[in-house]
Amino acid sequence: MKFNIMERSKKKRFIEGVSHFGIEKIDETLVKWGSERIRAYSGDFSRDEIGKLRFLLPVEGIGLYVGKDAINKRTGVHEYRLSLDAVSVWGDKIVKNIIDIDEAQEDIWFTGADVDLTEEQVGELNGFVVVRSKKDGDFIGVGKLGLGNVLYSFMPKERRRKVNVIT
Amino acid sequence: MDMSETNRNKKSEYLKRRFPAKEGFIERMKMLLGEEDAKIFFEICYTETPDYIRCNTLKIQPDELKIRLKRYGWKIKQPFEKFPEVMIVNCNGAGALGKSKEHLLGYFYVQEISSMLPMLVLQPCDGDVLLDLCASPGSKTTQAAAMMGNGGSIVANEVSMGRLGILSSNLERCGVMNTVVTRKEGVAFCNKLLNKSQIRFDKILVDAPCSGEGTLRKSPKTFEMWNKKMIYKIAGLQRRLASSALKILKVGGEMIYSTCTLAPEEDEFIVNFLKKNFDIEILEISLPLKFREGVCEWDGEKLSDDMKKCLRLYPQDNDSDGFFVAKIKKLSDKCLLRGDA
Repeated sequence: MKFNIMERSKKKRFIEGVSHFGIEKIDETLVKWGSERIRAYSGDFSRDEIGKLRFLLPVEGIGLYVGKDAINKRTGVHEYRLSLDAVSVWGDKIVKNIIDIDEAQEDIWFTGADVDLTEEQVGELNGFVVVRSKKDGDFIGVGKLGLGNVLYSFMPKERRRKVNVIT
Repeated sequence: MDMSETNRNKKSEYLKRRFPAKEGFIERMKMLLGEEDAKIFFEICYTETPDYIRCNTLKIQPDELKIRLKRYGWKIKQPFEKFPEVMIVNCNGAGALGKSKEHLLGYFYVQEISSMLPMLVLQPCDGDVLLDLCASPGSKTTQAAAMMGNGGSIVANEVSMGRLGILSSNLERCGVMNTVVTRKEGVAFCNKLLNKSQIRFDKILVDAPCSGEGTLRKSPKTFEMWNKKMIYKIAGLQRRLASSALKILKVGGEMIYSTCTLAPEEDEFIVNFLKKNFDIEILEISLPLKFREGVCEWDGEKLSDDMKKCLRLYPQDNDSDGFFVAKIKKLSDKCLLRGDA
């Protein structure tokens, strides 16, 4: 897979792209993975060492997948999206554009289905939002608000709960 | 006797009939343990292990996780004061652990205690450059990342494309950020770095592929697959993996050689081979678990007395799987081997 360690200017652009969640600084090295994905690497390997590893071995992953920097094919709009694990590890930086969902909605959310919200929950929010559990305060993913107060799920398939058993 | 115990007994009897131990295996275990202890070994092999989990301290602290899991009505024990992240969970219903929200969010990893041993012995910390040579499914890599607080550097290597997906998915779930994942056959991986780079490691884990005699409780099918030829065949690969890895360990660095088998040919014989051919020291292991020392004589062959320092974990001693761990310190780059062993 083609990847590049992002230059300072590109990293800055990504941070600006996700700043509507309150993220102002990212300490980790950001890596552009393929054409759209962004990964965050916190390890000590230098740029040269990573380059050497890549030259000698097939590198299949580096750091954590934290988001996407892509153009929405339908709307043509440039979008910056955070991943489920990014909101989990950067939770303390996220202070804006948060939707709190209740337990019943959370059960639906974890199946990967879209969630119906109340007008009160949506308020003035629009576009991408970080989803938080009202019960525990956990950040449990990222969704997109659609018409009719629907929260579209971006829960990765492998992280969805197949059957609700925990009550 | 309650219902669940009756069911467990029924299951155990069924497994004994379905997967009987082969005569050769029984004889070998008698040689290792003696008649009485071997009998206890084969009894426990047809029972299930307790559900161990490891709290992922990259995402949550053990006390908080414990409170959350107790809310489901699960009974939680932390058997080791020194390692509060290790927990035994008594939960109701098959698969409940894996379906819980805390699992989906990567707050814990379902991991048998035996599988936690290599990292508990190696003690990787922030600043270390660590190699996990046979990394999938990622239980030990994620454990290391948590111990290192996502600092230092980890290279997690795995040869199989299929298993690589499982590794990557576990690393993501656990929020691991300090790891580079590579796909290469282990010996070739080491040779590449040895011959074409200056990259060397402070700590290495070689959790080698093995015949799996220690995992019979989890996978009784191993009874069916067991044969002596496989042990000798796999020992060759283990020898090559361990000696190649040792070459890219820094002088003064530490390497863990571990397997989930109890066959001395795959365990002490490999460590003894390393001892003969490299300038290394076998280090003592201290853990708050009941374990036994390594064997120094097997099948008429005498090994170095240092093999006593290796750790043998038998299922009956801690109600766990079986496991083998050796801790090795590299003293110099001296090596008597030519080629890949």
